[in-house]
Amino acid sequence: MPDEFYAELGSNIRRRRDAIAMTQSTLATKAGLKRTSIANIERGAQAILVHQLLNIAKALKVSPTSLIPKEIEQPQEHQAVEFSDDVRQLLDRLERTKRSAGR
Amino acid sequence: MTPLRARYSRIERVVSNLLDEYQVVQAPVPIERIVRGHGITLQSGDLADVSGLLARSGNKTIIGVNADHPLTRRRFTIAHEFGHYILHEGMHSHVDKDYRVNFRSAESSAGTNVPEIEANFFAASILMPKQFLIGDDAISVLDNDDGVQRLAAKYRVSGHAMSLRLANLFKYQTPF
Repeated sequence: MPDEFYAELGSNIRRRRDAIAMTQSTLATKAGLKRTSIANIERGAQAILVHQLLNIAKALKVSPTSLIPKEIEQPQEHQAVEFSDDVRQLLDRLERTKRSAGR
Repeated sequence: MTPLRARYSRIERVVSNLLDEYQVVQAPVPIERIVRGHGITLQSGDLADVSGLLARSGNKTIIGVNADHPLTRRRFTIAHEFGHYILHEGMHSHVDKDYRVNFRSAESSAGTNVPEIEANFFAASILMPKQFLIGDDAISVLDNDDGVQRLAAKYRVSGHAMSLRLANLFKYQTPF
């Protein structure tokens, strides 16, 4: 599932960048890429080369593996979180009573 | 990894990057577009006494919001849950009942419940960005109820949230 893989890799990069309050432009400069490439990578619209991933991870001060989607490392079932009963009930209730959030 | 005290300046930077990224330059801030842009599913429905919830598992994240609440409150709830998502990575699920909009209350100075304080501060900052308020000359309406209500309407927040935000940002800095 390359599309999903790159989408999640991108969102991991973005989450980390958001968390350290770095702009796309700063990350681009540090990783030697264009800002538009960072935007595309974060959206999962651009597959990146290994050295680019290493540069991005270095700029974000994390290990490259921390950015790689977890499904690669372990099966999905270990990755999914078990919600408590009250959260599951609320999610069911939301699903049953769904209304458009954008009213 | 719960922070010991609210990271106000970091949150301001995170918010300002998000507004840049989504090219938001004026109120009202399109909070739903920003949240969806992060790949989060927004769902609105009957949640009884719950205002909102965040649930993430694997690579799917849902923010649920109480459909029976007024628009201004739903926007604040969405922004609050999104704040948990951005700031509190280890938080997989979270249910907010009657959370207090009163950021920097006595509770916050006592340092209790830091994640809630951070999520509230995040929500206030993203829905009522400081730079936008300065551009709208918000300082001049500080003590003018009609002015505060007009600003609240423009930013699509409650009058209560707006007056707290204005007091928080400007009250103690303006010479009188």
